[in-house]
Amino acid sequence: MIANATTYDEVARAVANKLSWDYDNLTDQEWNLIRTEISAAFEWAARAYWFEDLMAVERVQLKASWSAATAYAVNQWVYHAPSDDYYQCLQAHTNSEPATFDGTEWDTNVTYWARLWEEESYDAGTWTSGAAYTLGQRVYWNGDPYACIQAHTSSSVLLPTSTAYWTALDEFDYTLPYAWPGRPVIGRVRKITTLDPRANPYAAAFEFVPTADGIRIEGLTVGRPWVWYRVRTPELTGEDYSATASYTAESDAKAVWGL
Amino acid sequence: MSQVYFSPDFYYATETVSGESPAASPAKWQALKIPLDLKQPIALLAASQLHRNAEQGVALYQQASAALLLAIQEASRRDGRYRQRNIVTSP
Repeated sequence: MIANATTYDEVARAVANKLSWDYDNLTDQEWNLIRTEISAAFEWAARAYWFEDLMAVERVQLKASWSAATAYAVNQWVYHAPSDDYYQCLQAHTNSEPATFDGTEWDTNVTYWARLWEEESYDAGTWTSGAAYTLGQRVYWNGDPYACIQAHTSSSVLLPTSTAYWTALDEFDYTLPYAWPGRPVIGRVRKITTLDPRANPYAAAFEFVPTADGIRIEGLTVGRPWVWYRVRTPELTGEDYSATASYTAESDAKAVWGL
Repeated sequence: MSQVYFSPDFYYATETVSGESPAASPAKWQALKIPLDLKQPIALLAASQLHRNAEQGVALYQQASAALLLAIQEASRRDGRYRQRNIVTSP
């Protein structure tokens, strides 16, 4: 919530007063001009500083949560909340949890999943001939990642292109989309940290790069980082409310001030 | 179509709605509130762009810049106070 807010009408009235226009008798043209300029001024003012009222802090995840009811295809990535880790599907299936807790640590279900950041399953180095590979191990061959789906000893004829033993994988995408159902649209990121930056001002921060698709996080080491960002400034484009019109929520309906 | 003007604010529909105004069904709409600190800078900048007299337009623009600077200083001061409250020191 914005702590101390004003209304659009109050701002528009102030504009009209500065111009010596009669606010209560504006023409349609004057009304539209004022609305257009206030909309542009919103953007100008909001960009000038990290005004707390225009900021949001969210603990985010980069992939959808794993669900027992979902049918997963090879290469799909999921976030597994209990272990706070990301896993990649190695074989198409439904209802095989990515990891189970043995009382001490989380064990990856290597028949179906490879865990991000887990050396044995995520990055076993470059493929070599004559090596014993186990289920779930991941190698690079000709620069591309593959996962072992059947234990074997490699040879010059058992290359990672052999689909009985290997599955070609996609790299993990560290990009946080600007829009995500249920949260405001990200305008500009101030910080991405391991802990809530409001309560932990010196929490370790990650480097990030804005891209066309979202914010790419560099060197991520936690499953759900905290993102402190400016909410995207809305444009004032709405027509007068009509009781006979139907209005629908858009995906970025939360891209507004006053969260 | 999700944004409407319904005095005194603009609103986004947060779900499908028909025949229910923001006043009648506030849970289905979200108002675009403007921080009070930004009222003056926004109003002055908007007016500066619409003024027919160029000199007065420039003067309004300068006032808008000054008002925005004041808003930034005030927000920065509050931000600093907020941060100080969150500094943890060892006993």
